Amino acid sequence: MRDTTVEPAADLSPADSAPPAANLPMRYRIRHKTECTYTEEIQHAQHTLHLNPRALPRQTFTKNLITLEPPAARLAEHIDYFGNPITYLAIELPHKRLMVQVDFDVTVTPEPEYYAAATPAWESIRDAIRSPSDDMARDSNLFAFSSTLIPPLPGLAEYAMPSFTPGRPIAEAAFDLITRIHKEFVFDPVATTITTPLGEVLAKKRGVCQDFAHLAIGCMRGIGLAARYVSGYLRTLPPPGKPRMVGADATHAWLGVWCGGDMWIDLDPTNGVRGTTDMITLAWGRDYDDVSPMRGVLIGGGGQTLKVEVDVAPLEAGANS
Amino acid sequence: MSDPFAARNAAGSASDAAVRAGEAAVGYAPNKTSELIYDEIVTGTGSLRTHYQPLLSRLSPLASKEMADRVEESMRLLRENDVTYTIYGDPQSGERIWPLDVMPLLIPESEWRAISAGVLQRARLLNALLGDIYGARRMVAEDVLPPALIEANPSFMRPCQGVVPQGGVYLHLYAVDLGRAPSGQWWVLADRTETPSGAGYALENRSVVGRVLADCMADAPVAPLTPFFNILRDGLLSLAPPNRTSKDAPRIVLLTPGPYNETYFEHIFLAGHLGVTLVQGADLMVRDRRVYIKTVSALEPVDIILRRVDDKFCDPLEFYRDSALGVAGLLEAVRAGTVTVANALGSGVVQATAFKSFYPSLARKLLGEDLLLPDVPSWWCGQDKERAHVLANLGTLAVRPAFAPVSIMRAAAEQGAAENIAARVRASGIDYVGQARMALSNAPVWDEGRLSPRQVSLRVYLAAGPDGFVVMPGGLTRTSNPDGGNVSMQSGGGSKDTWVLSAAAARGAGTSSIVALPEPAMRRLSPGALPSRVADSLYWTGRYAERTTNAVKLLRSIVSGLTDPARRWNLVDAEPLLNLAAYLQLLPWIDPAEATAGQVLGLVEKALTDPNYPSGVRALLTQLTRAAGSVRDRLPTDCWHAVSTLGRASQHIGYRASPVQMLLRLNEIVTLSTALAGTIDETMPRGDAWRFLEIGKRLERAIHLVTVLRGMSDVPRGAGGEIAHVSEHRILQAIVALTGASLPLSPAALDRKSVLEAILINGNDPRTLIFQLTGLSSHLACLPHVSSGSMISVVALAAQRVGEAMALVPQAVAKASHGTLKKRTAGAAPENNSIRAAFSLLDEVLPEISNLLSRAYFTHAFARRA
Repeated sequence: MRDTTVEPAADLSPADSAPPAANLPMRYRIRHKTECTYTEEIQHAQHTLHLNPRALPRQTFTKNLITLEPPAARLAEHIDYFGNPITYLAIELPHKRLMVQVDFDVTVTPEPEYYAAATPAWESIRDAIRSPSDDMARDSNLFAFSSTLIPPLPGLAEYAMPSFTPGRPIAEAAFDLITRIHKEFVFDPVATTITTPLGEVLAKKRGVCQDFAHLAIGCMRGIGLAARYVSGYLRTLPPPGKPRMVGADATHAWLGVWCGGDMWIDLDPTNGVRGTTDMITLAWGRDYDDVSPMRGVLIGGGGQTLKVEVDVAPLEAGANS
Repeated sequence: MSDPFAARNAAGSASDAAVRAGEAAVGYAPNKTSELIYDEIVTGTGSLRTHYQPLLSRLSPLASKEMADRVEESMRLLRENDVTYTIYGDPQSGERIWPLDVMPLLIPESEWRAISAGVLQRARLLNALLGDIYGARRMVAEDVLPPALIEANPSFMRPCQGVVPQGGVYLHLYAVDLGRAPSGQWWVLADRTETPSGAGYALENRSVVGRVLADCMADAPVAPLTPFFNILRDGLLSLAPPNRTSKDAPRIVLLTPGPYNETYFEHIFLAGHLGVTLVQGADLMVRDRRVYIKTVSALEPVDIILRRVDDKFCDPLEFYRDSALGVAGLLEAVRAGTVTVANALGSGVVQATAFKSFYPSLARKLLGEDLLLPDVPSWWCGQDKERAHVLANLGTLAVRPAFAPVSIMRAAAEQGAAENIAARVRASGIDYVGQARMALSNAPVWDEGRLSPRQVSLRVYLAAGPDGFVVMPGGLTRTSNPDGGNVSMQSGGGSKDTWVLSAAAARGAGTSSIVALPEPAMRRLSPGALPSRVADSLYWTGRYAERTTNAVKLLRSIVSGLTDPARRWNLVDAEPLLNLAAYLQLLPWIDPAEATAGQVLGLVEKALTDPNYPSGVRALLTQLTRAAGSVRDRLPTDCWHAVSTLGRASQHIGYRASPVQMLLRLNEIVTLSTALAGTIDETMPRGDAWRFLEIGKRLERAIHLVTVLRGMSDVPRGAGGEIAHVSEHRILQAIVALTGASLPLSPAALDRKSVLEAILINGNDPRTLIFQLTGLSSHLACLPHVSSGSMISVVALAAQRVGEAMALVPQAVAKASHGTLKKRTAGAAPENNSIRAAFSLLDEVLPEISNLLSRAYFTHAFARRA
């Protein structure tokens, strides 16, 4: 058994698993445009938006701008249960189209380097979640239990077990799990929708980034660990010589795994990689449902079509800002 | 003995012999099967408890015949007051009469004082706990409460975190289920913090028992219940939100999930008793971060919402998305401080059984007090030690879901699944709680002529009054079903009135009934203001009532024609009516040449009795009851009686009837539906509510008249679409038989023009088309103008279309010849074309009026998910 306390091991070389893509901060200009068109006039609409990016020690924002058409009658900013900015939006005049555009610049610094093999044994993390003795362990409980879109399916723990062998360091085991998902599951945008249940994703071994994030989270929670759903963006165009990442043209999703103390690591099962400066965090919650970019209740209207455009452009490649 | 009640249990058997004699007369034998059951009225040594002696000395001399009469009286009162509830998952049940046992549960003053102190403390405790959970989370930080109790709790409403309700009050109305252990000690079985139900039933029980046992009550110091409801209302008014729209007195509404809720009766009753408007989610909307009630004329602000809708259904924008019961944006309005929701959104979280074992330490931490009323001993299996204890004692403990409120003693059912439960507890301990099994105390209920023991539990209510929490001196006593299984209304249990014997409280009642209570400063909805959803339902009530009448009259004409020996109809005579019935999808197409009268009668029976026949009579009656039921509180009592009697008539026709029985039944339904129309006419004030009913009726009748003229003649029969040729004379005869048109001519001399005049344009006859159109036109002119500009033109458009039809129909009839309707397929006479043109117009106009009305007044009632 390893010690439950963890140091981010800055003095150890990050030689294991995937090396970080870059050690330098990245600056991006991001535009996220959502356009809803309705076949009949909407008399009155209320929405909640998770479109304002979350401020983090690793992420700083400038020039954050929200543009609405038609202009909102009411706009109220709150912080949700998970600490994300959430916007309440009410449009109280008839409209057949709604456009919400968010523009911001962000600087992303790399995740603190860590040595996965030096992280605590996963069982000690599980026990710390079950009997928390400090605030960080208590807070991990926010992400330790089943949620709307991640029900407790017996197949999840079963799928997790080959990665979580006895005494294995949690970051190593978690990385192994997402590597397996990346290898064994097919990225297939037509196989699932937002409403496809997780059990079906597990059975068909197909899905998109939301599904893979949910799956990995469900596997970890199934064995008593804490994992959160992260929604965000990937840089649209890869650095020269690198392949374009899957999920770069829309919002992306991955997961954060609690490794004890204040250590949460990002893992992207869709691309089989650790967190990099290519990933910009928008919000996190227990699953997609907690952080869906737009959710609304309309009065009036018939059918609707939704168009989403995301553009993530590096401002100066590898610049020190 | 440390048990405060044990001493009194043994005492108080002053004249044992006399008491035993009385007991024999009443004929109650307490449950002797177990020593470990406390009996509410008889001590362990078999004598009557002191506080029951006055009651039983009055009841005992009564012969069981008189007791039976009192029971019958109570049943009749309940039925007349329409005191009902619904059992989920029982499609047959519909509404049941509330089960009330006339023998009250008596609680002496000293014992009640202890219960009161205990539940008052508990109300403060749970309110403080809610404040901590949705606020600072001190109890988690200080390791009093494991975070999983909140984070894994499906009733925890994350969007409510940090939202502080007005005055810090979460529990405006709170209920505690108590059970008495064999020792005599009262224990807490469950907490109801979200939308506690039953206070209205408790009041209704009192009003019935108070009348049936008036003599017994006269000499007992029974604490009155009504002051409690005034305190509840005053407490709500004192917590009006800070950022209200107007400086007027606040307006309270009671938000109900609607008529399908098991306790809908109570919602109507409470709204009436508190003098507040009963609304459904569709009646309310949020605009400008404020809640409004949508009426057909304006948006009226709402300040306080007493809700009977569960937390997660209250706001589809922030909670459960697919809820149609709530109000989108409600939580945002709460955040903006423009509305008070009672109980506060999110208060359901502490109902969970998992909290039980933490209350002693929570009481010390949050209140600095020791817990007065114990919970049933419980072990939450999310903790290692507790889980081990439960697994080791599965034989003696009951295992229950951790995150559901449980008050039901369900020992038998749980034992069977013991094996399974161990595995589940091991796999997912956080989801289970082990609890000591408790034998609830027994009290006698009147059952088939004698008193027999049943388990009882007592639900006690508390309100947050202007000066703090107040207990209702009484409560809802619930009894188990005869098998002794569940103490729950949902599983066939019953209820009792609860008499708290308190000289002081009873004296207070005497004075308060003489001195009129001051009218509270409360704004009510102006009497004429009609919520849009209500207008919609009234409109459909009018339409379905008329549609039912028309369908039943048609079936009756067919049956009476075919079975009346004087008329000696054969099937060909019935052909126009059969065609019409097929056109209306009441019967399948019938070819008179191929069928027998017996077959037709069989099909009629099916249309009349088969609940699964989509356009049959039972289906229509269901639609009618549904539409009227959702606005039951808006109908005069007699109107709702007429609807429910009519609705019940449909439930009794599920047997194979002879033609005569069928005819009698059809006559009865016609009579009942006519009675309904008459009651509406005689009892409804001539306001907008009545107008929407009338519009529904007139429109449906107009549509029916057009259908009658079409459906009898233009008949493409079968798949081939070949036109049937029906004798015009028969058609005219059938029309007269069906519409009851007043014709001066003898049936033999029927001609088309006179028939058309009689059923279409006779303006004095309330059955004619022109009468309906005239009515529609004048009702439309009286409807309130909707504030939004475009809506006025919608109503004006509808009125204009009615005007066109009114002009065209008399012209068309005037052009009609006295000749025959035959040869109308080819080379039709021009005058017939004008009749046809009139009908085409009506075919188009009548449904359009319905759509226009719906656009102007109803559709805004319904929100949907983006």
